[in-house]
Amino acid sequence: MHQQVQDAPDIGNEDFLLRRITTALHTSPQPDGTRILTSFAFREEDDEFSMYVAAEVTHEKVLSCGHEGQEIVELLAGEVRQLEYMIVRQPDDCDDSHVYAKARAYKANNQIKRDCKAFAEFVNRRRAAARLEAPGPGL
Amino acid sequence: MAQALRLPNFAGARATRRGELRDSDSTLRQWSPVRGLESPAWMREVYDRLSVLGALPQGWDTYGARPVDPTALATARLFLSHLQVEDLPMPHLSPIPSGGIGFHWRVGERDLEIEIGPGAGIRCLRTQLPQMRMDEDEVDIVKAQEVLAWLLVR
Repeated sequence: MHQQVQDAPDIGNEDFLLRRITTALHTSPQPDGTRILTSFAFREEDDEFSMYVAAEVTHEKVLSCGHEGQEIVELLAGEVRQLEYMIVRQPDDCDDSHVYAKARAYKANNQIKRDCKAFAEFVNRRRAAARLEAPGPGL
Repeated sequence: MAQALRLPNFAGARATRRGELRDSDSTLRQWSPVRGLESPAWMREVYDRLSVLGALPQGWDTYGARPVDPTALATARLFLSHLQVEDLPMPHLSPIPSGGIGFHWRVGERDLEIEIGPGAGIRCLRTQLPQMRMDEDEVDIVKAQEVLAWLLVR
C-alpha cells in the first residue's frame, strides 16, 4: 500500500543535516591539497538520500554507525528543499534523528544526478568559505 | 605525449585451413588502442584502484550499495585503454551504489563526472563552475574522448 509521507514541519530550512561519506571514495584530491566532494557521495540505490538532523545527534554518534574512513558532510535543510525534496523523518537503527530526502514529484535519473552534483557543490562552497575564514587542513 | 599507439589487429580476419590469417574485407582494422611508453604516469595507479573498487563488498557505503558490477569494471578498463587526451590529469574513481563506477575530474572551473553503469552504459555530466551550468549526456567510448577534451579547452 502506498504510504503517505510528509515534509517534516519541525525541521527548519536553517537546520543542518548530516550525511556519512567515505572520504577516500567520495572526495577528489585537488592540486592545492584540498579535497572536493563528488556527486557520487549522495547517490543511493533508491534515489533517496539518508541523513540525520544535526541538532538532534552528534557527529560521533552518526559516525559510530558507519565504518572506518568515513566523515560527515553537512547540508542545510533549505538546500535540500530548494531542489524540490521533502525531508521525511524515519528513525533508524542508528538514531531517531534519521531522515531521508525524497523528491516531491517524480524525477528522472539524470535530474537526480544533477541534484546530487548541486548537493555536493553546496558542501564544497561552504567548506571553501570556511577555509578562507580559518585556513588550515580540511576537505 | 599521451597519444596512444595504434597497431593493426586482426578483427575481421579469418584463419585459413593452413593457419594463415586472411583479412575478410582486405583491411586489417584496429582492435583496440595499444598504449606505448608514454601513457600517463597515473595509469597504473588508476588500474590498481579499479581492482580495489571491484573487491568492495555489498553495503560498502553503509547505505546498502551493491558491489561493483564486473561488466562495469570491464568497461571502465576499456574506457581507460582508449584515453587519448594529452595532459589529462589523474581521475578520481568512485564506486556507485547501483554497481557502477564513476570517474571525476576538475580542471579550473570545469568539472566532469563520467559514470559507467552496471549495464556498461556511459554517461557524462559536465558542470561549468561557478554558474553550475550542467550538461548531461550518454556517450560511447569514442565520444567520451571529446568530452574529456572539453576539460582542457583554454
